[in-house]
Amino acid sequence: MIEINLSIQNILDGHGIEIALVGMLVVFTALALISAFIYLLPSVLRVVNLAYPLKDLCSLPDCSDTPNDEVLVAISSVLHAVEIGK
Amino acid sequence: MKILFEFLNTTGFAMMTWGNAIMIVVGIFFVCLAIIKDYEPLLLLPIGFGAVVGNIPSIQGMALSVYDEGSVLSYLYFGVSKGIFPPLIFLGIGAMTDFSTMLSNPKLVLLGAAAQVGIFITFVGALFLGFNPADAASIGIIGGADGPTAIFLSSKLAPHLLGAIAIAAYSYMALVPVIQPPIMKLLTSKKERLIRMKAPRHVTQREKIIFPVVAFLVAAMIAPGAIVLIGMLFLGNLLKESCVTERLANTARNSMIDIVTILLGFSVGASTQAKAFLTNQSLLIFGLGALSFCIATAGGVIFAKVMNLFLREKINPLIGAAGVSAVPDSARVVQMVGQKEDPHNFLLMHAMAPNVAGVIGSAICSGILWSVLVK
Repeated sequence: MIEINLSIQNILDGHGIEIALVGMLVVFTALALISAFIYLLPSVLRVVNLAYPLKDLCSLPDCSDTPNDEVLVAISSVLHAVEIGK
Repeated sequence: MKILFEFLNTTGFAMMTWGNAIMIVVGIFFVCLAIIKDYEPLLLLPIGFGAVVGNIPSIQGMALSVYDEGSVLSYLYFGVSKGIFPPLIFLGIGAMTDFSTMLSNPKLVLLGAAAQVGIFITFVGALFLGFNPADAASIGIIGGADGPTAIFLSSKLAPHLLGAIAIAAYSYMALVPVIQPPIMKLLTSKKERLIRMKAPRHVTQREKIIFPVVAFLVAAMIAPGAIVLIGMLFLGNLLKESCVTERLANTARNSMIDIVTILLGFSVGASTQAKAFLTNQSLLIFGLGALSFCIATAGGVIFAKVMNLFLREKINPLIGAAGVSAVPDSARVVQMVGQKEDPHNFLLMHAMAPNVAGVIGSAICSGILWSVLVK
């Protein structure tokens, strides 16, 4: 048998409403600030790109353009086959 | 002969209680759900098998169970009880998460905040049912639909409820495709479900590299209690996006997260011993957890509808449901529900934005609750 002690007083004693309201306010504030930052980031980067042109960063390999091992294996096997064909 | 009888009295058959038998059946049920129904198999299988292991009655005087000091299982459980495993899981999640869709549509981040309403309403509900504030906060966090976060917070605030909270959190995460669609359909019209959203813009590598650093600073400054979870999440993401630590990112998102998932799932399962788990409180926790999850889903959808009142380019309110942070399951559910109305509407990418924002949001919530309620 489940014993349930329903108590509004427990909510008041535990500052339930205050914690819930402050908690939601803080989460919204944090994520709204992150959202605002993301919104402004492209504009900031346009200025940053003037000082540090994008080509500086291009020395970093772009993940999406880096061939993975399977692709490298496929390329080398094709090259090998071409070589043998000669 | 005497030795034989003495030995027989120490076997699992002799010491089995009804509670142990029920929990073993529950464990096998989880294993079946994982294998047959493919519900969160990576989690439910180790948890289910752990529950079977943890409910074999142990011999008095032998350190066997997770609660026996010095037992092997207690050392495995140490990572759970001290909150070590959840941040490591977050490191792996960070290393496999692509924040591009969020970066391309920043307003969707707010949906990740709205869905956290489930945590706080359930917190108040649990207080109303007589739980103390620390226990109520640990129960409320189930609504974040984020197993590691729920384990982390309850290990800090309510270690005695850890088993029930972990099982509830992971069970509801597994049941996302069952729980969310009816709520999503109930709160949206057919016209709303048919809304198509603009394709996300291209996000530069530089944006992806700067984002984890700044987002960590913002979140950690506001809710320092979340630095471990948020810090590991964004470290993992920086390892991935920087492109100079590909080996580390690969390890974090593959081998490491797999190892930690096995240890966490198994030891959480093994902690569900009948005498500690089959209590009235556990039943209440399961009930409140379900409520929390439903409110979180509804909160996200309703907030998306409210946002549409002010937006020129409408968003499909279904994606609000992905604000609960069950990554990527809730985003998949959004895609599934959206495609039932319009097979050519692809919402998955858009839903990933509130989905990953929800991960950040629930970690921030845990930080807030921990810092407010720590004694």
